[in-house]
Parts: sequence; C-alpha cells; structure tokens
Amino acid sequence: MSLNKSEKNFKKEYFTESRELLDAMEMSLLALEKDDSDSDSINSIFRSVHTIKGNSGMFGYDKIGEFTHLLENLLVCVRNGKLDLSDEMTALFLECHDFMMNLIDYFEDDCNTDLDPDNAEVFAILAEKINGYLEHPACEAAAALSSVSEVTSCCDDEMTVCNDCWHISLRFGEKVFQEGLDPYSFIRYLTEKGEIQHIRTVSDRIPEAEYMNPELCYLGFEIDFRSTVTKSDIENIFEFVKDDCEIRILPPRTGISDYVRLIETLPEKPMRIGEMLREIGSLTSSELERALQLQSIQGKISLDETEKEFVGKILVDEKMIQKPVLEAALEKQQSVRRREESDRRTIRVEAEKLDRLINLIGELVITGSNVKQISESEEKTGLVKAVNDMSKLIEEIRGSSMGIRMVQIGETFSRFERVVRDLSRERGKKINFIVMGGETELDKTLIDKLADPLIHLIRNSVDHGIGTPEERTNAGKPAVGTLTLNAFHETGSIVIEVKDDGCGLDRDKILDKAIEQGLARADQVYQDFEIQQFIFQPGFSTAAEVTNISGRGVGMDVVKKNIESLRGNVMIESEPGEGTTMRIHLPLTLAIIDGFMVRIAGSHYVLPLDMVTECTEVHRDDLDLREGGNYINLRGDVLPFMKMREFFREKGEEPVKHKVVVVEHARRKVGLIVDELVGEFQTVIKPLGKIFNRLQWISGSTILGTGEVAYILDIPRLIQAE
Amino acid sequence: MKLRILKKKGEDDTIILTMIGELTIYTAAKLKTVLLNELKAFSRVVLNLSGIDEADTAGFQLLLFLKREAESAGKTFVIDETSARVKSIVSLYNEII
Repeated sequence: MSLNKSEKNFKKEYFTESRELLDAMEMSLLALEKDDSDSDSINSIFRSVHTIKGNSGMFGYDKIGEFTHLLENLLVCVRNGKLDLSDEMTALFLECHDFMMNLIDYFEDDCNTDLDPDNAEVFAILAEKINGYLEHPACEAAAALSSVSEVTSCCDDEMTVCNDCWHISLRFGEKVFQEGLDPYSFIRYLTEKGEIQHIRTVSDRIPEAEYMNPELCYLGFEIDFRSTVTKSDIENIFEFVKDDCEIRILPPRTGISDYVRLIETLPEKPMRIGEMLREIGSLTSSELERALQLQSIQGKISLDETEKEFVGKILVDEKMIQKPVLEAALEKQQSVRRREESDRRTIRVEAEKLDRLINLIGELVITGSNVKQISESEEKTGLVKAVNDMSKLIEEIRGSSMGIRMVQIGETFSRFERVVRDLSRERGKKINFIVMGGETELDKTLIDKLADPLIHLIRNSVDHGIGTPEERTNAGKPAVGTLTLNAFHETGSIVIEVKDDGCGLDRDKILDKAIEQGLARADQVYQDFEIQQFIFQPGFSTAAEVTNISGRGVGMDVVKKNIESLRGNVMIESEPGEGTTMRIHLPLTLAIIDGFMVRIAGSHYVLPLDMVTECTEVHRDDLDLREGGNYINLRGDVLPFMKMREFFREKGEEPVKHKVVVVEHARRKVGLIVDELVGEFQTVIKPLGKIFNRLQWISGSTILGTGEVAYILDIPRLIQAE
Repeated sequence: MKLRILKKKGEDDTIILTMIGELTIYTAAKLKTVLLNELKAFSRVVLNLSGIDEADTAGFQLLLFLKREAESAGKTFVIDETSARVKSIVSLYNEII
C-alpha cells in the first residue's frame, strides 16, 4: 500500500487516538467493576468503541470494525438494561479491550489489513463468547436497532447532552450594584474553582436610553464552566448574592429535559437562549433542535415561522458543507475527542523536539550568565539594566519550557489499576487500590522511567505484602487489603509512596537469608534499616517459592538502580504485621535546577536550592571546641554538621568565620560548613562522563559564566553518608 | 466624582474622549449623560480608557449600552486604549467592545 505523507499522518493519528480511546475504555471498565450502576462509564465505553469502529472502517481495518461492531451490539444490550452486567461480562470486555490493543499494535507494525492466524483464532473465540450473550432473546431486537442507527452521532441516541461542563445561568437583580456587590468578583472567583469555557453576557434587559438607569444592573450571564466541584460548591460561590440573583445550575451531561426547563424559565425568548447555549457550546445543534422540538410538542412554546426556519438553517449550515471524506471524518474524530476527553485543548509535540528546546535553553542560560558577568565588570549602567531584564526573561522562558514537560502523574497511576486487579485475582487476594495525589506534576521523562520500578513495587506488595483473605482474617485484619499509591511534593522533591497494609518485612528471615548469601555476618548486630537495605542486593529473595510474578530476586536491585539513575532514592518503612511503605524521593526535574553556589577552598560547588532550608554563621572556635561529635545548636535543635573542607581534604588557611548551609532531604537536616556563600545560580546540569561514575557525593557538573566548572553536590548521598 | 474627561476634536466629525479616574457605579450616571450627548453631536466617538484605574460591572454595562445605542443610531463608538483594569473585566466577560 503506498501512502502519501498526509495519509500516513492520518493513520498515525488514528492509532494514537485508538489507543487513547482504549485507555479510556479500560478505566471505565474498571470503574464499572466497582460500581455496576455507573451509567456514565457504560456510555463512555460505548462511545470509545463506537468511535474506534467508525475510524477503523475509514482506514480499511475491517477486522477491527467487525469486532467493534459485535462488541457494540453487546454494549447496547447492557446499556438498555436488556442484559445485566455480570463479572464475567466485565472480564470479557477487558479481554476484548486487550485484544483490540493487540490488533492496533499489530496493524501499526504491519501494513497488512488482515489478521494473522493467531489473532484470527482469538477473534473467533471472543466473537463466539459475545454471540453467546447476544443470542439471549432480549438482545436480538436491540442489536438490530443499533446497526441501523450506527452512523449517527453519540448524542442522538441518548437523552443526555454531550457537554461535560457545568452550565451556569445567572440573572442579576437590578439592585445588585447598589447593594455594593459586583458580579465581576463572583464570576472572577469561579475561575479559581475551574475553567470558564465560554461566557455570554446577556444584555437584552438594558432598557431604552431614556429609561436606562446606569446604577441598576440589567445583566445576565450564560456560563459554560469546566470544573470538578460539586453543585453546592458553585452555589456557595454565589451565596452572598443569592437574594439578588437568579441562579440556575445544570450539571455536566445532564438530560436534555433539564435544558428544556432552563429555556422555559429564563426571561428571554427561547430561540435567543437556545442560540446562546449553542454558541457557548452547552448544547450541540442537534441537541438544541431536539430541545426546541420537545418544547413545541409539549405545546409550551410556539415557534413562529421565521424561528422554525432559523432552526432548520443552523442544521443545514452544518450538514451541507461537503468536504473530502477523509478530512471530514478527521474533523469528526477530533470533535468527538474534544467532547470525550476531559483534558483541556492540547497540542501534540514530539518529545524529541521538546528535548532539543530544553537543551537550547540550557545553553541560553549558560550564555546568559556569562553575559551578565561581563556586563557587571563594565561600567555601563544601561547595559547592566538591559542584561538584568534579559536574565529575568531567560528565567521565565526556562520556567515555562520546563513547565511544558510537566505531566500529571495520575494517568500513569491509573494504568496500575489493571495490574493490581489482574494480579490480585490471579493470586486469590482481595485488594482495594487507592490512588492519591494524581494531580502531582512531574517531568515527563521521569514519569516514563518510573513506570517499571513502580510496577515492581506494586507487584511485590500484592505478591508478598498483602496476604490472602484467610491469612488476613487470621491475623485480625480486614479481609480486603489496601494498597495505596500516593504522590506529593516535599522540600524540592517529589515523593511517591507505595503503601500496603500487609505483613511487613520479615526482619529475621531477611537477616538469615543475608547471612546465608554472605551479605551479612552472623556475629554482627544490625539495625532495622540496615537489614532492610539487604533486599536491594542483586539476587536477594526471601520468597519461599518462586512465582511467575516475583521472588526470583531480580527486582529490588533494579528498582533501586533505576531510581538512582534519576537522582532519586528509595526508602523503606516497615512494621511487622502492619505493612510496608516504599517511599521514592525524586528531584523535581532533570535538566535545569535553581542552584545555590558556595565556595569551599578554591572550588565552587552548587547545591540544589530546593534542598537548602537556611544559611547561618558559626565561629571557628565554636566548631573546634565542641566535644563529643559534630553537632551545633540551631535554635535549640541539635543539628549534625559536616566540615566540607575536611570532607574534600582541602588544605590551606580556614576562614575565621564559617558559613553553614542547612540542607534537608528525606526529612533529615544537615549543616554543611563552607567557606563562602556565593548566592543563587541557575544551574544547567551537565552529566559527568562514564569514567566519573564511581565519584560519590557529586551528581553532576555545571559551567559557570566564567567558563569555570562547578560541581553539583549530591545532597541525598551526603546526608546518608553523614 | 473621581473622573476627569478630556475632550479633543478629531477629523471627520470625531470626538476623542480621554477619561482618567473611575469607571464605576459612582461615575456611571454622569458618564451616561455626557457620552449620550457626544453621541448625538458627533458621528464617531473614540474613548481612551488607559487612564481608568478603577472599573466595575456597572461601568462595563454602560459601555455595552453605549455600543448598542451607537449601533442603533448608525454611529461609531470605539474604545481606543484600555487600562489593565478595564481589560481584565472585559476579557473575563469575553465581550468585544
């Protein structure tokens, strides 16, 4: 098949979109499994399948089309309540999902549009299962119906609207201004709780010039509001003004009849309101038509001739425009996506392009600080100011381009739900999987590299941590175990926790094993955390039996290595019988950091600014005279310190007054004694070459404006060493 | 009243009004009278709002009203420059005046 470039792009788009739709379908399926009365999820699955079907037909992937058609028939029966959704059926849907994912992968790699024998076999098996359900008499009629209306959009066969935003309709009373209230402040406040997608000012009530009193309010607003808040949250926003304002709030995806009522109760003419609703995107044209029809059927309003014509015209305008098939279909694809995906309008950019931009900005930062240093040595005030302005801009560019790379971790987290579900079934365990902090933002590269280690930790928890329901009941715990995945920010790092309420690490078993493998000595006393560290050794496993999931002893060492390669670290908190928490600390971002520069003897060092909590000063005598260890008194707290001069074996005269930089990581504080505090410094991290791999305490280097090299101190390591 | 209006006649029957101060409920009544008169006298009224440091929805409503009046009388009503405050209101309400 020879494809020109744009067709190839369309295909690429098709595959990407299909994967997204399948992801959405999986999430909805998992939600359904928890709560089978969730009609939103069923609708969303239906829409995913329906869209994939339409697109597949367009690109000639008839097999996918055929399969989705079957699936759609079954879904129609479930949605209409003809069939009850059983656990087996959900499992079947998940199987179908996996199969479609395979098909998409298969077709993308291969230009073929037909199935290979393996896939054909799976196809036949699944089709048989689906048909098994469909032969149920209640279904047949419904299935026949669905094949007729298959091309119409998702909205037509439902009585709910597609719009997934709140609709807020406000009509302010005339006295509002005089009461000292300003509608501006309320609507402004809305934007803090969500996003105003569209807003229309309704100024129809402003009277003729001579009767218009500028001190009275005649305004109303129709607002399309995207937010996750509840209705009462929105009502609370308008609490102060509720006596002076008619407020009507319609929830996302509400029934068309709600809009019919809204149109009826608002003071403006139905057509005018309807048109506004369409304009701000609360209703689609066909929904509007339906709503107006409903009204006229109910005899509540009568459309005059011009208005009828008008409704017709809206529809004709939209439908008559003939476009090349592919283009039109693509547009449909996109509009469906716009409605279905909750995330904001986005542009897809190749990660590579972004990386190049970040690299260039890195260079720009270095050059910028070089220019700044030169300008400071010149005596031209104009130049200094201009360079300062430029530095500020560079900083902003850096900030916002790093922001582009930030992605919410929730999407990655939700992928694990399936892992937990499948694993726990396989191992006969009951596990409640909780995700917290899904909105925490993290560098995209980090997220990609995190998925594998996290899956490992989760598998460990399911396999070793949480016991079977019997084991748990015997131990006096609820039969259903809890596995929590939590992400949050903490002093300049991101923390991700995998927490289970299982049996905890078995200290004695680990120690025995460690002695057996020659990692520990039998005559030595180990602390808990030292023992826990053994599980990170390559080849270490205490599992009595090797399962197909874990226990082979490869794993934790890889997890640790992976996390460390991201400049992060893993900590374990474990209480026997209570559970285990694996805590991963990661830096916020990889490439550029805000640094804090210090001088130790002749060399400059950079500390990540996020980890610096404060700076203070001590006299040399205070350090030398102290007996019994390296501690200073920091406002009554004991603060361990490290003399960096001694640490790096620097010689030469020490300054009389030492500066102390207090750094914090993983809830531990240490004071670093340095010669001089240089100040904040935007640092582009240049990784050290392979030959420096074994260099501890240093996590990278950076180039100063003067061309000198400064080392970036590896604070987490230093704190551990202390 | 915390509002000053500077008038300047331009070419082609145009009046340019530069306003300094408040565009709020406190000045709306006065402004309505002044601006309606100007609309009667000239065929093109240009407002420079860059000196408005305080504005509210009453002010916004007045602008909407004047725009409607101008349109129905077949005249031109233009806002030439705005201050940040005016801009923030107009852009929140997503109106083009």
